[in-house]
Amino acid sequence: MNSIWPLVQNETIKIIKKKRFYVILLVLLVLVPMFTYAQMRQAQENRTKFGDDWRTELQQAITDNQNSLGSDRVPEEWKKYRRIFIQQMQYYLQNDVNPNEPGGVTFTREFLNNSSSLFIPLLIMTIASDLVSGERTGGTIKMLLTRPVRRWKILFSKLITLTMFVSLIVVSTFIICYAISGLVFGYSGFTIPVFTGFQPSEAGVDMATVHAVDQWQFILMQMGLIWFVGLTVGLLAFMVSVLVRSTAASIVIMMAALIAGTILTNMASSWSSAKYLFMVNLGLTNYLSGSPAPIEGMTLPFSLAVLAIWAAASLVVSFAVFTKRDVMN
Amino acid sequence: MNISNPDLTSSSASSEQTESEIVLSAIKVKKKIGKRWIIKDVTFNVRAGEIFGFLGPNGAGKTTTIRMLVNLIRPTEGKITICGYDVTRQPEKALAYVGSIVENPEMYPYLTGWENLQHFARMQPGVDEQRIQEVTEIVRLDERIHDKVSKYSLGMRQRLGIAQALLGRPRLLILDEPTNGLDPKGIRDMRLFIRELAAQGMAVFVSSHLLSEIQLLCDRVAIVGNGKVIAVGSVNELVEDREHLVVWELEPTEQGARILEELPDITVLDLESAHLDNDTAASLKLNSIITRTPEEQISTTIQALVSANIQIHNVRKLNPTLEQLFLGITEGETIE
Amino acid sequence: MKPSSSSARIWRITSIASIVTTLLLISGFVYAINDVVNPVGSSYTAESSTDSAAQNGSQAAVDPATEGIRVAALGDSLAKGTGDDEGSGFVRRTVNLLQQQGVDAKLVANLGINGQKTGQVIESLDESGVQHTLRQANVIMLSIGANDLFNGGEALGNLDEQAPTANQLLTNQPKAAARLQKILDRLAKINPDAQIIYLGLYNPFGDLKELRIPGNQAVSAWNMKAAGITNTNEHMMVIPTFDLFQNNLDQYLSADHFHPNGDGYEQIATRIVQSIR
Repeated sequence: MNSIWPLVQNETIKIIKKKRFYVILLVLLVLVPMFTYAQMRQAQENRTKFGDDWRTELQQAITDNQNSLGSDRVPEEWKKYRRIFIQQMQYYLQNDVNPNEPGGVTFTREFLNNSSSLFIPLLIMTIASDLVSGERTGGTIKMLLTRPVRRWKILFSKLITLTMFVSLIVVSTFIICYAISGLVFGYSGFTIPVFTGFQPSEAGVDMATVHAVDQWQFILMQMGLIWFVGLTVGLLAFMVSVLVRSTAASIVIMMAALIAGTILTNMASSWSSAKYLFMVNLGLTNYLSGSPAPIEGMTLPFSLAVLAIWAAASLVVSFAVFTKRDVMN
Repeated sequence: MNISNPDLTSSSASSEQTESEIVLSAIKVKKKIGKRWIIKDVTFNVRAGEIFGFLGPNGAGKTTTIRMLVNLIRPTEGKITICGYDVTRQPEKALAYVGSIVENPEMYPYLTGWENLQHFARMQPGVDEQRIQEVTEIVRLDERIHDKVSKYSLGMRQRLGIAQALLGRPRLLILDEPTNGLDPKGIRDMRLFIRELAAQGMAVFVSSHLLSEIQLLCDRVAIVGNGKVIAVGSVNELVEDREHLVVWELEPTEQGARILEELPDITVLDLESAHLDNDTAASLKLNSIITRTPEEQISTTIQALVSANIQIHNVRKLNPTLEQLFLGITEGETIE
Repeated sequence: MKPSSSSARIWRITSIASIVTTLLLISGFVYAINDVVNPVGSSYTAESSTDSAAQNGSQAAVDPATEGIRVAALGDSLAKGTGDDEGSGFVRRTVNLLQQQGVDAKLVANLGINGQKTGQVIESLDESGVQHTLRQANVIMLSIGANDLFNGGEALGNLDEQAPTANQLLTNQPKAAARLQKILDRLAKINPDAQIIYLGLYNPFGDLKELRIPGNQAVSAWNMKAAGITNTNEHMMVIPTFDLFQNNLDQYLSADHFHPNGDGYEQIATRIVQSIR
């Protein structure tokens, strides 16, 4: 057995025929319209309040946030978030750019921004968690491993397939989101300028490096970062799938880790070594939009390094265990 | 080769060493899991063209051994070679010669039979669509091959499993309890089929916990108990040539029993010491007398009974049970 | 049809799609890293089309004659409505009262921020968003000065706030009044057509013996100044509150003894409505 591609072909056909990927598309097709509708309602409400005047709307939002800065009851780290938000929004106003220009593209950008740390990783898990444990649950692992193929090759083929599907899931999310929200908000907006390069600093935001990119460029960057996040989560789920016999158990383990991540992101700012956990580093897109990192000292290179180390470690464990372990049942 | 009964195995080994090539060989294979040695010593050879039985009660280590043969489990000690290739060191070479079904033939239920075969064909060089068609015809699945496996009956799955095992034109076929769950016709078909394969020169390794199964199917047999191969030899030597139990139904019963006891070479046994399996024990009538009678003595015994005016309602030989066989080989040691 | 065609098709489509998407995403990934790690600052210049839109948006959007009353509020916690258990404040209450009378009134935005002082309002008037919002209104309500005068900290809502000394009250006043002048001038420049309503101060320390007199003095002096400024501009007026609260502190002040409560705000709103109509 020289080539790996027939094996990748096998894995691909199995994922498609097992309808795993269809389930993911179905989830997107059901959920995206819900988000779109919610967004539409909010837009309607704002329109009755502010008319079509996004500048006033934005100024009111800035003022509301400024008000919370004065309150002692608001925790300091929230204030930091708000200070940064205020500065960014003021920057948008100054340059007369609507950061929330209504449109399918803007909606998609927002959606991608919010789905990076939980939603898309969950979708990827449905495939990654089943890759190995699914074979064990079904007993087919015996058939698979008694072929004249080295075990690492089989695992490697599954890994390539996983990468392929991570890409497909990220792009599918974009396509479905754009197609559905465009029905409501219109399909234009790829060339709207979006500001990026906000550098969080002691005082708030350093504006020196801020620059405008077209919205499509911004979305491309978002998707690239989400892809990396997805790959890391995929590799971790893959490792769990190697270690745990049942698919259900491996999904539960990964889901618990991811949800713990979102909880920690919201409350761990005083526990600084939590920044070495993979699950608090999943919000890579925040570095693009300039939202402050959940924990002091986190930057894009830092998060990338943390994720890469976790991914590499899970790869090592996956291969070490899979190639050596006895298949008892 | 054999610890408890060396004379038996040495005779069989010498008689067959000169025959066809050894396809599978296991040498002093041992497996330790945790602190327990679950396989203590497994040694045997399987030759081209023979049907080799692997006989032992459930829990004797049959499945673990089979898993070691196909590289699912790594032996702690010892060596397994298939067509000269070490299974642990060069699995991609050794396993190219093997087709196997370990326990149940679990295929992908969401794929069709054909897609399953394609899947496994892609993992083996030199298996094309034509070969898939061939094996489909061999196991007579052509009509349903494009149905999803989830819709197959157990028998059809078993046949698909065989088709899968045959894909790579193996020289060794390993089947784990191949008649499990099949109906009587299915069992008969399976035996014929296995014989056919062996006749074409394939070595077939069959595990079973049923002595009758092995008797009907195999040329040679290894008997395992408690993680050890206790004996290896031809089925004739190991199984057929054992003394048989004979059941008598006589009238008047007590008088008949007395005559039997008086005859030389005949021992009358009670139910306990006969070590019958449950089915056989249940088939006995209340007035049945179980004896250990050498085969050649049966006719003379009948004459003696007739001349004593005893009515003989029934005389039959009982096939030996696996447990009896163990007792015979190990001379009194029990299985566990 | 060959039986294997479905698998073959799945493989062909999926593999090509995934290779294309993977390459695309990798390029996005590299682009993103490069953009974040080596950011190049550039001053953004809006295209001509957006430019004209910006000018349109920043022009006065209301014609008072046809558009009814469009209110924008600016200033401190009173403008925001702190202390009102309904959260409305005098601004929202004024709009509501007008609407009850059948007037087409609408609140454009309320830019009141707790604890703001005159200096901060002056700064905020330079912000384009604030200017834009003010231009959308034809009535601008301003409440400012109390924090300057009473030396309130950043958060005036605090109950542990130290009451100012009499001396402080008097020394804070002149500079702050100069800044009030500046604010009103700026407002008139930003939106020359709007009616600017300045909310006069009351003395929240009227019930503290040692602060009653100096408080009254400082507040009166301040209100005089404010009246002096607004009198010169036909679009400006002061709504007095001093008399309203002077003897009704326990009735109109909220629990923090500084801000009006709902009733207090309602009284203020009633006065404003009377003076606009």
